[in-house]
Amino acid sequence: MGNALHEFIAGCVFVVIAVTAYVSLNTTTGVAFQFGEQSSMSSTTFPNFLAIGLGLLGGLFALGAARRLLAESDLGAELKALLSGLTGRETVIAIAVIALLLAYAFLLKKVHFGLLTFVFLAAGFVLFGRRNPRAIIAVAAVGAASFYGLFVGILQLALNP
Amino acid sequence: MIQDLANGFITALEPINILMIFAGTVLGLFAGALPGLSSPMAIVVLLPLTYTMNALPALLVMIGVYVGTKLGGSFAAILLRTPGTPGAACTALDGFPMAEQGKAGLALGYATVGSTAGGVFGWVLAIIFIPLLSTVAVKSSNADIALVGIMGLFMVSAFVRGSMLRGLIGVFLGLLISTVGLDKIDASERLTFGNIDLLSGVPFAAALTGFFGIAVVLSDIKLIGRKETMITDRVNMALPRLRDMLARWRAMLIGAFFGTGVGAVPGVGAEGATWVAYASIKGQSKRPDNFGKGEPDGIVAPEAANNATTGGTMVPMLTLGIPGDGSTAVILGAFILHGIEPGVLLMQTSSELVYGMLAGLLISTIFMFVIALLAVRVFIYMLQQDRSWLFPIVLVLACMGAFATMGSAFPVYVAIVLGVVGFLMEKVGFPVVTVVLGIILGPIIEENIRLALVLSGDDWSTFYATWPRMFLLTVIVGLLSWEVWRITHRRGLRIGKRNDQPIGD
Repeated sequence: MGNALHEFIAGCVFVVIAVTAYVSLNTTTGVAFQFGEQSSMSSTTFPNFLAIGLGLLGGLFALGAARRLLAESDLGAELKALLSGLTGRETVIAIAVIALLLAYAFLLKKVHFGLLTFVFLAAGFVLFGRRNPRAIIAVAAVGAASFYGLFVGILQLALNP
Repeated sequence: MIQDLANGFITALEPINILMIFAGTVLGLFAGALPGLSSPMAIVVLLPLTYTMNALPALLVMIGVYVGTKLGGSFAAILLRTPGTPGAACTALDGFPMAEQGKAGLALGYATVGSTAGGVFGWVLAIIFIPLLSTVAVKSSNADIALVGIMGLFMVSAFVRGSMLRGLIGVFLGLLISTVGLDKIDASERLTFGNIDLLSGVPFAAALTGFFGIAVVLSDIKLIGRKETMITDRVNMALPRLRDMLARWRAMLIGAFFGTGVGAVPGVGAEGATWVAYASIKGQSKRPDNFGKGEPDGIVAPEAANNATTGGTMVPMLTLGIPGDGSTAVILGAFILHGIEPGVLLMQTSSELVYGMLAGLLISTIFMFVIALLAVRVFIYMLQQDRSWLFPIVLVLACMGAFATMGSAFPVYVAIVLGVVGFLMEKVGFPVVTVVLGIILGPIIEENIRLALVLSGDDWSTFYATWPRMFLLTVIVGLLSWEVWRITHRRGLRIGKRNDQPIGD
């Protein structure tokens, strides 16, 4: 199985999420208002059950992947594939897109929406493989103007500083 | 019911509504025709544009997209051998060979007629079953509603692609995400980690735009620079003769039947229904050897099944609040964003809206036929264009869809985080639709379990006190047992295979 290492890591991540949720649910102190009769199911019962369930299922999944990894897979080759995947072209572009999105979210309401969207679109086109500067600028300008008109002009979202 | 339906048509035929259906269907055909753009993604990018609309036109444009993408996907399947949507994958088996034989226009014609027939059949069944099921559903108690929700999630986990274990992990993660924020009953904080913005929970629109918008774009990075080669760029739609189509009644009926029936099972969706329909018509055909070589029945049956699912998925969505696939999950999300609570009471509280939507479903199917017939060349032109221009635009729309819910950047951050989570999950083979369904159904399930316990005096036996509840529990246990049997059986086979290998091999 080619993805046993990926699956093992994914299973472990689900266990970590479950443990974090369980710990948070059982250590957070806060005010809980009680209305009427107390039920055996409190506000934390359901999420606690889900956290335990997710932990068990994630653990089961990781265990299955680990067994396959040890029995059928070449761990060295899997690690090599994982590392080459992390440094591959697609991963680099994906990270750049995520960084661009984070920057866009951070600068929303701090920079003029039309200008910000123009830069975002132009950078996005470059990341997605467009190379003709005139076409990039033209499409980004038309796109940004349209979005500005739609979201600020028509839908009246408070997007500008 | 007939009066309600007539009123639904009167409402759906109002100019703004008809315009929305038309626009949605055109957009759906485009989105479906372009491999990489999915139906849920096309619906998600519409979210920010529909916030200020009334609920019905907003939902009608989404219904239009949902219907349009079904047929649009087959254009790419026939001409490129790359299905535009997962539901059109089966169409490529016979559609592409037929196009190779120089009959691309006829293949498109079979697909268009098959889709329309399936869509109408699915609509008729939806119209019959929705009122019937809703009269039963409306008598449900809190325990019934909770069990129906749980059963829906188990069914999705069982029938979605990949193993049930993966589906259940997605469902549990989605349910856990749905519990973030202040508890509705005693107002205590849950999983907020001290973040004030999370007190009102994970913004629902952010989850949708993250999982179905940003995650899909990140997954489509692999398509950058891929040049699609069309079998031919000179195609005109050639509708098959009426006598020919009537002779294919069996393929249409089988496709439509499986599309509606199998499509109504949450999680199976169009993809499962089309393969079942294809296998069935091939099994019953007098010319099974022709399948895979351009047999028209191999196009008609899966296409009829594909579009019949639009009616099939409406049944659990509108009567029980359980979406059948990713697209209906987003439509259900749009209900919530417009202040309408989906579930068993929907037909009682918003019957005008439901019948308006159902009328819109049929109108959209008719529009789909007409638009495909008149403008197929436009869609074929679009097929050849580079999708990389679209992705940054989709990202802006996804960000705005999240932003508009709270008017701050916080939901945009949430959408980005969930988009990355969805992207990574899909990469490892976890279907994100299960997470989204968990987020939608989580609050309904939890609230009803707790209310059922309060009303029964904390008696857990209330969950198996009646025959319908026993039945629902049996289905849940049956699905779990089936999966356990599958895992152990598979492991047994693997061990057996290993033992059969000669020594030293």
